Amino acid sequence: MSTPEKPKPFLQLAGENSLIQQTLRRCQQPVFDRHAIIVASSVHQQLLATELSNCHASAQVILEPEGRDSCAAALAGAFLALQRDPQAVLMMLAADHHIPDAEAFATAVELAKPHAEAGDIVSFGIKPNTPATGYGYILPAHPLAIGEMAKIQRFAEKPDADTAQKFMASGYLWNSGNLLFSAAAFIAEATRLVPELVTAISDAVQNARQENHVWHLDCDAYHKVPQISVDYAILEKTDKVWVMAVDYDWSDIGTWDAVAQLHNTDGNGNACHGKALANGGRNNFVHAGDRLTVLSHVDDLIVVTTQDAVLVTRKGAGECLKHLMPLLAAATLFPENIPMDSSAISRAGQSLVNGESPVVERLALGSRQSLQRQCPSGQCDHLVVVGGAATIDEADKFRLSNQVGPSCLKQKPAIAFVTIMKKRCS
Amino acid sequence: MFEAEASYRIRNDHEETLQLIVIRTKTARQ
Repeated sequence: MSTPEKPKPFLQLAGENSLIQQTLRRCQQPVFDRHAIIVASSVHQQLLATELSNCHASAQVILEPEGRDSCAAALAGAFLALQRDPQAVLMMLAADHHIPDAEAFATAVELAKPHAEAGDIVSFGIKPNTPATGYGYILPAHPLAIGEMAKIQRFAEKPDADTAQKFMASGYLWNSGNLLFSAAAFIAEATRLVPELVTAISDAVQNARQENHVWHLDCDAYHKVPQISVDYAILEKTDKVWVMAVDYDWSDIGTWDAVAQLHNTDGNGNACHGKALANGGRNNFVHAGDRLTVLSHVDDLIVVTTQDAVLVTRKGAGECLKHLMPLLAAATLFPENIPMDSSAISRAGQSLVNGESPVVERLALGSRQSLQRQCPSGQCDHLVVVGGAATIDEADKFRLSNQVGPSCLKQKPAIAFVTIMKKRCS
Repeated sequence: MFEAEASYRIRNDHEETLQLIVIRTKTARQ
């Protein structure tokens, strides 16, 4: 359901509005400035404009030409916030999390704000109500009551079921990934820990092309930005990070099990969204959209139907689906009715079925922009042009699988496909 | 044998935004 064209923040998974609209509404509490800063892929510019219009929100929008993980996004936001206010304090929020009680959330932010103003980075740790295996955990330096803060003793990756039970009994908190920090202090700490990343982001923001409230980050500068999360780049290395214990409802909606838990059930434990019916069975969840979907006399299933695909899985097996994502992405990209170079598709397909993990990336380049990329030894890039036209420079050094001219890919509206790999050296 | 690493440049010479999906896989054995 979540696709590169329309990722999770733009979906209605919990309630009538998209997750990003819910996030923007949460940020309309008095503790926040009314003009949020949104960092998004430039591919989603139109989608984002529609969402902002639908919920009557205004924002400064930073568009990334390619994804560079959360540390780059946080720093880009911090640099822009500094231009607005040298004392700015930022709340870094994922656009696809579910926090139904906006007031409880705002109260926690208000409580943490003095610490952020003093230069600390405040993380929000959710008191676990189940031994979840789908979340990372945080151990505070000492046990915390709700609303209290402590330095962080350790971060823990997603645990197995036994470890999650031990975490829950030992005062660990779920790592929500939401952070509160002063823009200036955050940049200063990042400069100490990851200086090359800060330099590249600073260049990308300074050389950004601005259109009204939209900043298009400079492609060349941004391409030099190392791809690393804020957790690995900063939080696990700094001594300035604290955690505040909170107990408001929170979910990262990372699995269909998590989506199911956000829906009310009938007397048999069934929950339906859209044109769906569950009859004669128990404990099912159906997410159907406009496609009529009927379950009869089955139990414990999650069924999701869209115009393009149908998913049937057992409740509790949601984590397993993540291993299938590269394969699903490739399947989406290779529809049978689009003429493409068969040998290149075959190579990509073989890599997938042999269990190797391909990396699927979505890029966008504005008019007259260019982007330098590295292709490591032993790997090749399969480029699929889904809009506009691309010219590949230095292509004579590469073996190109496409048959559409020397190096120019222009095939509209169908999809052009080219594989880039190093020529053999004799 | 393949060289250690190579770079290439993607250009958009047109008015319309260029949208690309890049799938990086291992090179098939020759």
